[in-house]
Amino acid sequence: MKRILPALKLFLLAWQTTIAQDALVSGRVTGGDDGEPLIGATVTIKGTTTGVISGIEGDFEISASKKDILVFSYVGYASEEVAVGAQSIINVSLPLDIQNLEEIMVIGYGEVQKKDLTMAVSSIDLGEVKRKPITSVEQAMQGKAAGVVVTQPSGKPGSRLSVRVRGSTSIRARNEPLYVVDGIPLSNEVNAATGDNTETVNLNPLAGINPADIESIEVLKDASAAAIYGARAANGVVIITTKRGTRGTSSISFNASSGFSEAITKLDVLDGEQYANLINEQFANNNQAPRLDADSIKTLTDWQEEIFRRASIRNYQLSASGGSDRTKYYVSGSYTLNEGIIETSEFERYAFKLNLDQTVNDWINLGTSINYSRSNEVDVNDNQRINQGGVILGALNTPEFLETFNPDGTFTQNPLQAWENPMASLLGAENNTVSNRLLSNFFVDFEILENLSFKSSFGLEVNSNRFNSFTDPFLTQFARSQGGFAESRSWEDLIWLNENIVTYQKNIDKHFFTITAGQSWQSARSEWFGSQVRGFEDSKVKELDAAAQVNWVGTDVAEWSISSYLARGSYNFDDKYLVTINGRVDGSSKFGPNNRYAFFPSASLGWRISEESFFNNVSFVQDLKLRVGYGQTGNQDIPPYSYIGLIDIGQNNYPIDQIQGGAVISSIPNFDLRWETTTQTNIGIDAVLLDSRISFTGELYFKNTSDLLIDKELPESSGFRFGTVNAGSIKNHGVELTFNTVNVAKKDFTWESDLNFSINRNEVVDIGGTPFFVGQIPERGFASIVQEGETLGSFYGFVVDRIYDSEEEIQADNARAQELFLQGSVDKQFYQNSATSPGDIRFKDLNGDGIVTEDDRQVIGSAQPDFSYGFTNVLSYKDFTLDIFFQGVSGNEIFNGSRIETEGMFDVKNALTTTLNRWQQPGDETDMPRAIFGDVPQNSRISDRFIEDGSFLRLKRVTLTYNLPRKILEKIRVSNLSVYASGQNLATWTNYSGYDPEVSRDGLSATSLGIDYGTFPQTRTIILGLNLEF
Amino acid sequence: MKTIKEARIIGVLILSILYATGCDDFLEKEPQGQVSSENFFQSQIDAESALIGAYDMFHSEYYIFDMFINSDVTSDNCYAGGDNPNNFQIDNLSVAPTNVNIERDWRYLYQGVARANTVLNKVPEIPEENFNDPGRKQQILGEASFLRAFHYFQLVNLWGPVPLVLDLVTSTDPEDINLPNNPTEAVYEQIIFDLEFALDVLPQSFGNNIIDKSRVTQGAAHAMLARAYAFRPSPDWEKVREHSEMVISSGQYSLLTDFDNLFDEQNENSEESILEIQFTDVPEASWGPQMWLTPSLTGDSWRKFNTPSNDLIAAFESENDEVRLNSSLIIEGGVPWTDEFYPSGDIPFPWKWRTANGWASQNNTILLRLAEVILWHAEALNELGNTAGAIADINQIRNRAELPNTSASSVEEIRQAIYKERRLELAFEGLRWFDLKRTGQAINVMNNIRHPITGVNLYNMSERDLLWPIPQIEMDKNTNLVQNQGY
Repeated sequence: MKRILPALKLFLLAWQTTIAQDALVSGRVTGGDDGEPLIGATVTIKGTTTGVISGIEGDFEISASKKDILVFSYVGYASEEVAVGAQSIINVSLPLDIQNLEEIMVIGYGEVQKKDLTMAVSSIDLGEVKRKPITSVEQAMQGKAAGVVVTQPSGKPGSRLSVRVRGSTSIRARNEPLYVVDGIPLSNEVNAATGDNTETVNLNPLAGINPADIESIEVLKDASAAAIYGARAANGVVIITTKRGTRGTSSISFNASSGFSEAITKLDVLDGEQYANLINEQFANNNQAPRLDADSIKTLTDWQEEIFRRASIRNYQLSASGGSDRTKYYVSGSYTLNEGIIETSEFERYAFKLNLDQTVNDWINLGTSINYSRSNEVDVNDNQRINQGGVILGALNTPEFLETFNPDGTFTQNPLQAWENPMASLLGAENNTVSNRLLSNFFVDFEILENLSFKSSFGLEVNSNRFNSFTDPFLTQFARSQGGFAESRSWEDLIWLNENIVTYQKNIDKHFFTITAGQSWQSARSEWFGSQVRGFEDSKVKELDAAAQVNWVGTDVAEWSISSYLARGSYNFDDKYLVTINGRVDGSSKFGPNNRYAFFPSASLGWRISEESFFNNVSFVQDLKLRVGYGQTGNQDIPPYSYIGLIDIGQNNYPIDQIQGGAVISSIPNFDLRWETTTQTNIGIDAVLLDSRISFTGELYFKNTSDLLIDKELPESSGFRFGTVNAGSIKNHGVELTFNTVNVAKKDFTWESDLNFSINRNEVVDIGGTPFFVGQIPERGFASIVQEGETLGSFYGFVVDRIYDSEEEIQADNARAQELFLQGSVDKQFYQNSATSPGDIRFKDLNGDGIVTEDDRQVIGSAQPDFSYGFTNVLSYKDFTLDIFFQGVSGNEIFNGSRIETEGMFDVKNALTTTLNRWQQPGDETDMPRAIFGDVPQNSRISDRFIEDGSFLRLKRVTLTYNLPRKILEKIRVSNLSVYASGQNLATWTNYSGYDPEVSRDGLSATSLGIDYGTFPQTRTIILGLNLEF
Repeated sequence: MKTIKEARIIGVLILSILYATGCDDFLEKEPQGQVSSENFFQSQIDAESALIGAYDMFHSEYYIFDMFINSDVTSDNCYAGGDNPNNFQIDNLSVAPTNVNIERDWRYLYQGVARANTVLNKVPEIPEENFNDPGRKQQILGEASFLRAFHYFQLVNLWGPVPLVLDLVTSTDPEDINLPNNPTEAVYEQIIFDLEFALDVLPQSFGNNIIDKSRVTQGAAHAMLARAYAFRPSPDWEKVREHSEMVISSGQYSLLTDFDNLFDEQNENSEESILEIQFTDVPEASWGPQMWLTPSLTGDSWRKFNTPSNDLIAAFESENDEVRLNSSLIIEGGVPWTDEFYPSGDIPFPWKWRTANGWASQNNTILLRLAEVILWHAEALNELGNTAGAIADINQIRNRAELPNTSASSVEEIRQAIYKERRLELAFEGLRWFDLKRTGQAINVMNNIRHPITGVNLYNMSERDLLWPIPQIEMDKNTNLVQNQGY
């Protein structure tokens, strides 16, 4: 297949006529492994505008002197320079340019060519997004950039993914990067005002953006890149640029896909009879009579089968783009439906996009970017025990001898304990969250002088969300006693932004300067309203005003603002020596007058060694650049008013004759509160090797965060649970490696690979005091600790020694404890406690004091991986393209808290079949303790019993695309038509025993990571689709 | 051409200057849903609302549910019931430092202390002339002092030596917040100090019956002082006598003729009552009764909490005390669960609250009433040697319950009669466990209780279990604390 340059470029070059030449040089330009001719390659004489274009066989003819150097270039291939000398025939074969050095990277308030980049910036390859509809921006980023770890905490549709750029820097404040979409820094603080009655709602700021509208995603990873975003950049910056029209073209593109997702696996639970035996044994071990007659029990319902379903996925998108001389446009509309694999759960989105650019005259350009979306999300109750109506644990813990409904239409309950079956939680109440998001930006660009431009932009972000729920007054027990209830909450955030940026560029000889300076201010206001009512006659009318009583009603308002000044200077000498200096001053309303403003400087240097003359002879290196950067960034993402001592009004009323309003001090003031500061040093190397077949980027970084904003847990005797202070520091050091290779580049077959690999070492250096605990497990305390010298996400608990097999072993331990007790050296007479019996776990006495107490807990694992990686392969054979994407993490642990509920054997919950292996009599060799109701021996305390290896390698996505051959397309006047089949999560290699190792109950939390507690599992998805362009 | 360019530059410069001269207060954002504590306390209204915030601790889980558990489930009056292992631990007298109930109770009670401290620290700063009602400022301080003492009374009975926090915490400096334990005696000293202060400044009456039962009055201060002097490690019976007599002789209170009227919902804030937690309509209602009332009243089928024990029923029956038995608990059969202590299926439920109303009961909870004070009077007289006076007091209580006069005559007999009378009269009113410990009976009584069917001992408690462990999370945060013995 012969390649044709875009027509435009041909025209541009065609007029360039040749002038006085010394001699005629001719030859052929070919490219790739199989040396096919390149039609339309440009051949120019270096340092002049003189040039020609190669013909149909790649042939060219040009007049040049012996001293001239010819430059051969072609889009997608690396340029080649050849000195003419005595040659009259010059044949060149251009290597494929995998790493396009001229590629423009968006770096925030400006752009830079990749070759001139001095900072650590990753550009996300969106090739796969183009071939397959990926419905969320974070998914498009997952596994695609070194140092950017994207974790999907659950398989819930529409759920927010956790994105960590070079580790976690904060305990209290945000750890997600700052997202900048078309120049607008997105508020991560959607719903800053959530009232006092509700839990914090975590809506996804990116949920309104359709990935198909995205032109590029750049991740600013190091401080020298991110410092231009100052006080919000400590976790890196993700710059998303949407598509815009191009002059002289016009195209319409349609994409439709449809498929399904389903549960990857089910867990094995006890059948009715096994359950009855377990329960009776539990009670017998607690000296109580049997509760169930195992012989008469049937197995009727597989609850996992009940809650899981084959869920439907649909996606349609239509876009048009183009432009005339003065006007360019891109417009798109899309519809996405993602049903969840658990009944009722769903995410649905309509998105609309309009980007316009208008040239007003020779010095004024203006434009707008508008993104509107409306989504509807139906949530299900996961991450909870059956006691709280948790669906996943409900399915695992409800005995199989029940049916779903009682004869009267109500939901069945466990007869031993009135827990309703999981369908009650799913069907007994309905809920949905509707979100409207508008993101719009209007800008005017003045080209004041040739080298001086001024851009002023005004952006507006409006988020409006409404949550409604209705709990049927009849179907579930909890609701029956209250006559059902209904709740409605709504939030609206309005954030405006005004930025005014001046850019000056100057080229003097080999010196190239760019200076950018400007000012930015942003202000936000959030309003919240909520109410809950109860007492419905029936479920015919579900409005709040149909209820008899108001449980609560509330409103809240919150505001914040940032005022900033920023500047960047970059200097490039002869394409060899590169310098960039950034600075930003941010003032934030979130901090008190004592510490309101902060300055964030950075600097970086680049040295393109390959441009040095001594490097000319190194033929296997096409490009080699060393970079070093240093700078500071900040984090100010705490709730507004955190520095003020607040008084709550209205939540603490009390009736004295009549209800009277109460006022309660709810927080301790701290007028010295300030932003967190992250200081980062980055050393990077970029190399393009072996005829551009391999490009490599390596980064080494040292990232230290100090003045951590901490909700310092206070002794409760203070009357306060915490006080917000700046204390302590966290360190993240790491290495990132990225390889892009062209393995095969033949005429009919190409194979390209991208491999990225990241190591991040996280350490809590100092937290300004005693360790604190996070990751609460109901009735078991905390599973994680934040402790100096450990990583964030460290698990903390007891260590299992073995199972006691005989009374003698216990007595031996207790005798020693008794002896020590009598000596007065311990204050407990039992090694563990008086209830310990054979079949119970013996925990290790780690501090060696002779007894097991809370002091015998230690760090028993960490949710931080040793390394994470992504491996993408794109294989093209004739008209077929195959994308294969692997992704994985290694060396991390998971606290499988679900097993406390499913292997704990302390109450009347159904259990996993692994409990069949429980200790029942002396001599049983097992690591599963005995069943005992109430678990007085505390076998199910938090211990390494529930820690599991969380490493996995996953075949994340495979997409096979068939492009209709050009000949056929031309006949049907279609510029592109492709069909594809795509599968997600097709295979996972892991030792994890739960549903799926990619799990985190606490979602985006910085400190409580890797806990599985009845969490909505990941799903397997199969999609078929087509792309049509004309 | 050049002039055009200059015009452009000037234009843009003017624009920039316009932008740059934004308002200075752009970064000043005042909270709107809440108020800054810096300048809140200005007037009597502000002082009153801070005090209401302190009263509102009576609507916390501690006083709605946990006080009942901590007095009656821990003791011989109730089984844990329900499904909560934390409650089982408390019932079984094997409380772990990680027990969730004790964590939250510690928190609620100290929150109560902090709210009282807010009033005690901040209200004095408000100038006298900003109070519309003369003398109200002192009263407010008196009410807050009483509330602080009331919470410390709970704290010291549950944990013994606890830190005394007497000022509002305004910094996170470890020196200000990591306070050490104070000896039990010192805690009682503070309780008595606070109550004496309250006594000095509180009125006998606010002139409105409901307010007199909702707010703290002199009567309440006297009643609590009687409690405090009796409960402290070395009781001062003369003081108990003095303060109980002040209540009895005030003429402000009298026993209801019908014991059941105390709890029948028709006579809330009665003449017998001294202090009551007020519950009204949602959202100032109580979710508590839903936790322990019968399935037929709650509409629930799950196993209820705080099941009255066989031992308590036997205690009523041994006195033929039908009046108080029938007013204190109710039997319901055919419940949808099995109870190992009541295999017949007829299960008793607490009956001192009568309506659940779907987690929104309006039933008040009585904190102090005359009958208790009369029994203090009896105990004081007996301890001081006036057995005749003590017998008269006891009989007053017994006769109201339609029981004959007591047969006790010796000091020891009378002492035991009073203990038993307290149990029957004040069941589920937050005192049983504290009384058992106060009177030194706890270990003996608990370790003699047997399973009604199997006959095995239900409890195996030791000296250690008289006090709860300080919550582990509190120990972890406050390194100056010393854990109670045995944990």
